[in-house]
Amino acid sequence: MTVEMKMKAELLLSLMILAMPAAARSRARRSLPAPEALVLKALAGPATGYTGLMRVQMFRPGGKPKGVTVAVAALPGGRVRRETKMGRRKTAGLICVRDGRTASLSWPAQKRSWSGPDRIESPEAGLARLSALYELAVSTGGLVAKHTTWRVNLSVPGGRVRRSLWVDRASGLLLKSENYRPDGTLARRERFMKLALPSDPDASVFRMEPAAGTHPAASFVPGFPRWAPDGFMLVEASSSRVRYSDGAANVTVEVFPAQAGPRGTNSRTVKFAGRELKIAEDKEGYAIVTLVGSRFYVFFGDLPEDELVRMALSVEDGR
Amino acid sequence: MSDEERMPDDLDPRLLRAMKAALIASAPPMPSDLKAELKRMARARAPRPSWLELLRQSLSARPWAYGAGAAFAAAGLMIMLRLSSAPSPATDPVTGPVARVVPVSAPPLADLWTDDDGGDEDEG
Repeated sequence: MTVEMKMKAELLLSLMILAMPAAARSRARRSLPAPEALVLKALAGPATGYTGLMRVQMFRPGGKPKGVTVAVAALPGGRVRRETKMGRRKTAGLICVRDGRTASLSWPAQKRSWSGPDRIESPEAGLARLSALYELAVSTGGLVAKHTTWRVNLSVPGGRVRRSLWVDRASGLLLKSENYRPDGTLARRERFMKLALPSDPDASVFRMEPAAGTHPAASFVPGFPRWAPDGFMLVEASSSRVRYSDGAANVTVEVFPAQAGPRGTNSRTVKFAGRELKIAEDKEGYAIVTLVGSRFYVFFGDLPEDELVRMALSVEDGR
Repeated sequence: MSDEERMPDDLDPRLLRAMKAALIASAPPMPSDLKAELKRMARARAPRPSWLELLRQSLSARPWAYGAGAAFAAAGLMIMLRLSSAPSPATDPVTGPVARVVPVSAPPLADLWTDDDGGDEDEG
């Protein structure tokens, strides 16, 4: 072999080594699923039942993180039971059951219960809501509760990641989610610590039978939202203001007459189902402003804007 | 400053003003990019009212809004009083599972939460 041939072979080898990472990256990009398909699968839920234990963590600026453990059981068709565990003995705290038609809350220790028709959103409507608010991107997500995942980042149009979702590659179940504040700091994390999937929980756990002596209480106020995230309940109500809380996070809704509508706020506008919503942002978080009938509703608090929008869309103009 | 350099006390004020004007006129103008940068920095440092403050300002900026707001609040209060005094159904078919509208006695939800180490044991 001549020196010239040797040099040519070395040059060829060098070029191949340099080109390999680019080819690998290109292959990896090609093998990633579409983020919209993943989100749709996560919203629809798995085709089998499952049971598990979740940890919900709240992170306050300058404060200690707070956490709560939740036992989850679910069946296909929208039946879900979430039971908050309290203290070292893991006694039942707040129990939330949705059966696809009715939402029920019960707190046995407090002898309180709430029940009423649920506000259902189809997976397609949920995807449309998220797609209108965020840019979706997918990457490999690592292991969560011993399951391999895809990570879907939901970014606001400016480019900042607002939420991250970890979706089980096999079943499509949402295994973990994180919400971030406008400054990028972590605000809330929910993740499965243990998961049995598939599993067949007994149908009786999805029937809420209030214990003797339990008295019903307010859960929704006429003219105010009919949907709130799991675990949130009404804790304050007046004629122009209601507040929901899960004990660590709060959402407030204020109402103003339409003639005195807001102006001058720095906001972007999105439209859903013929309703216009303005999303305002400042360092404290996000706020949603929408007109329903003759009233302006302002939603603000510790929720990402897509959940505030879902609450806003559940307000009905029936007055 | 030496005695020779010190300005005489009996200078005509008109002369002083003319000298000041001449000095200002002879100074090189501030570069436009520096001026724009200084203005941007000043705007960034200025306290920015929150969206809620802006909203409340816009609501209170119109004198007639007080009347409308008061009328609205009064109407809301009347509705609430009527609802609270009326026998409440177990489930309202229109407004959802409303048993009683007011008062809301909040259960101790904060008791559900405990201190957390903030850790995440997963790779994800």
